[in-house]
Amino acid sequence: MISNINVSHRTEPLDRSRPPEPGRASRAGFPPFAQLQLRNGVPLFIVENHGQAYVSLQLVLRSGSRSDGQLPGLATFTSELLLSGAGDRTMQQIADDVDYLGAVLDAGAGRDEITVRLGVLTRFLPQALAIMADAVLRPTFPSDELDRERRQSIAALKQNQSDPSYLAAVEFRRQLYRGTPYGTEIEGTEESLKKIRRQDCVQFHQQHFTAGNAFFVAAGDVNPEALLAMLNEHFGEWEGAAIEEAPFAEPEATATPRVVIVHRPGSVQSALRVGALGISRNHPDYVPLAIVNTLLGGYFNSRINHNLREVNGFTYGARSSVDAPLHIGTVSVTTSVRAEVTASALREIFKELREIATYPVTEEELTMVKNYVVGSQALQIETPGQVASFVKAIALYGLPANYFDSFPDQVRLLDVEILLQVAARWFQPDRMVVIVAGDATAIQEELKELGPVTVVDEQGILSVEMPT
Amino acid sequence: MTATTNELFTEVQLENGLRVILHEDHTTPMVTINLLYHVGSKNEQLGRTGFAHLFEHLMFEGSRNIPRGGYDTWCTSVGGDNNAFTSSDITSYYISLPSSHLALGLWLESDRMAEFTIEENSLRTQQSVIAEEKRQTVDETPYGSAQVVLHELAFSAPHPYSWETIGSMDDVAAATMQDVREFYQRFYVPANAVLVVAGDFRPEDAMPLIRGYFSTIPSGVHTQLPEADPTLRCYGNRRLLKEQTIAHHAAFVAWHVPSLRDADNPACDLLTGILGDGESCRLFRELEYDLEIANETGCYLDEGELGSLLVTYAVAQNNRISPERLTEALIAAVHKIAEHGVTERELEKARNRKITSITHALQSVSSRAERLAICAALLDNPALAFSEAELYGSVTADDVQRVARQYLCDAQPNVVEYRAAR
Repeated sequence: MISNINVSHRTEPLDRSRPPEPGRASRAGFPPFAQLQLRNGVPLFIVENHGQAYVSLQLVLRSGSRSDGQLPGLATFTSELLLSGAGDRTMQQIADDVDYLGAVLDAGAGRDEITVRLGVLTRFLPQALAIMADAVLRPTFPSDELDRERRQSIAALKQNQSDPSYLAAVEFRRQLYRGTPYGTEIEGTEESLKKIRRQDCVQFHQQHFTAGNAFFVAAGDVNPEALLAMLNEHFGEWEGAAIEEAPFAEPEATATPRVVIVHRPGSVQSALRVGALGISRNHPDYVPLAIVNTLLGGYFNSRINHNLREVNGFTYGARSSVDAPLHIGTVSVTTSVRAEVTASALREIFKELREIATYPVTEEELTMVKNYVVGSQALQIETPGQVASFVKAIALYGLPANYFDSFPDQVRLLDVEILLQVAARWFQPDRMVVIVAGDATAIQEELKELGPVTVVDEQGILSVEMPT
Repeated sequence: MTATTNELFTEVQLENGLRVILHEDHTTPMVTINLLYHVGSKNEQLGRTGFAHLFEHLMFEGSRNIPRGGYDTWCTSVGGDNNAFTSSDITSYYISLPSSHLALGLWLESDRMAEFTIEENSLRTQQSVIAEEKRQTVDETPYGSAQVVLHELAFSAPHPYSWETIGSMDDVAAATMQDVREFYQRFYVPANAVLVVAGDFRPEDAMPLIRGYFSTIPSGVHTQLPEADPTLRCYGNRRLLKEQTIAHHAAFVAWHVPSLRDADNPACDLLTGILGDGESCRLFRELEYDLEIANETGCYLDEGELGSLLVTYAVAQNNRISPERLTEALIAAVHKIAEHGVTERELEKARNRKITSITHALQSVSSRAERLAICAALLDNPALAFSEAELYGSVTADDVQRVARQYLCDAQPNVVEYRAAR
């Protein structure tokens, strides 16, 4: 493979006083993947790579916390219990067998999907798959394990609530997604976790773990035919239709801009979120919006990080993000600052928002951000498992199969006019809600200049309504 | 000049002593450059600790042709990623880039090997950044001081492992520009480094760039391993720490085991797995499930060229469980293996988990590059990066029992106990 290096060949020293020119672009692109189908119609996507004798397999169900109904956290709780008893296996037996195979097997929920993940050496795939099939198709939800899981989940929630950025994130979603299935927390609340009964998990499992609601993504050292045969053996008889989902409720409109303070007495830092409703993952504005966002606050050289961290020294880091799920997403700016500069930092954030929504970006910035975004995609597909996560996005959000192949070209086509239009549409300062998790007594007066101020406690319950 | 080629990598040594390893993989359009300097905190002097790590921070502060901040700006401007770490034994840097920017990465790395030009204010800034890093990772992290204290207890000064990599904050604060320059001139030289280039490139394109950027840098001297007097290893030391910030009592128990180069290292590694890896391992089953005295347990090998420590730990389930009770249970778990051995199934389980984690890591080009550099520098055997799993194939249940008896049962461990003060 590597044979003709002339080791005695002399080379001229290179000039180190200026950077080198880039080499020619690689011929390697987004790795190819195949799509097959189990005999019951469940799709199977395969990213073949035989570099190492390792397979990762994900089973994805098109339900998530948005299907929790009256019991926030139900999807997460049910998923986590799959490995606590299944078929004839106890939790201890599952743990022992999974460990013996050297495998990693876990399950969890997002807003739009539930994922069961398996990572295993090729030679142990058949045995590991048998355990995975029991967990997915025949979970037993033993009562004692259910109580143990409940105690652990509540303890973990309490741990989260001591973190101001977590509190700000929760309140942000609560404010923007009022009345929709995205308004609750994926992990639920202490109150809802206490209400979940075994019967709720059984029912959730029956309803959502159906063949019509599922697809597989496999990556690594797999032979497509052999894998398909194995999956047919375990999952070929699986039945059940796709879920008829109720139409996604539009979030209730609220007045903007406005400020909500999550009061944490004695807090020396303020965790900030400034944002608004945005777009779904398959919205035509997605790519230009992602680029504008990168330039505004999506990478180290971005405007917001430069302003808040490098110029003003308000924070260790500040960023903006585009969250684009299956339904309505959000745009937001996130940072944590010391309490006494809360108002100043917010003023700077609004200044940057006004700037990006009003004036075109420079050609120089545009070139830099395009190179960054196109370049970093090459680094995000280093392993078969990483490629599989892109393929999962294609399947989950219904993106075209060549989406990531053509992504660099889509980015290169963007110009400053398109970016300005998109920024003006989604980063409009007047549309923004401001969430501050911090000590209200120290900051609320100064924040009134941004809009009406409301103070809530750590559970989001209104404690003081401020006059406007 | 010599060159070795096999089907996985090529190794070339430049005239100035720089070891160069090239590993091609065209699956995805990225390259990674891993540059390892064979210097760590073990090369420091008592009273001058924390320098290797301080220097790692300074390497991002500018060189002859790349001003302060330039390294990161150049890297991100093409979508790249970079980072570094320091241990007792080595300092390791990597930069990953889209493959068309290999030359940029080599330029950035060679310039800071050739001539770093940091100024006083960069030194002052990084001294305070490190003080902050220590506050975050050692002082404020629950049980974050365990590693530092275990090294103090397990090795007497002047053993090079008697201080941890982060070093003494007084020593770091006292560092002068003269100290920094001397450290750089002595250790950051081609003769003391391994350069790995891995990913989507052609060696015939890369070699002229590597030569062009690195071959004019003066060789320097390869660093010899410092003296490590075995009589400076300590046994049976114990320290109790009372801390305000932790919620639960805890215990860390550490035994001396042979260095990473020793033939017994794989058996010690599998013993570590049998004790602490997975949801069905010994410590989990005994302390968390049967005795119900701990809600977190673990075991790891703190590997070094001059000797390793096998560390077990447990965090109390509630504060009615004393740290002494945890220590006793951790030692009992180890003695049980020394007396009664392990089952074939346990051994197989630990072996399978180890091989899975090695195999999984090898899927990543940048992990392969890092292992190639480490295996070349520490074991003089880069090929081992791809055959590491085989080391575990021949370990038997008797081997595991023997190392448990020889190194753990017959010697007193060093113990750090935490008492939650509230």
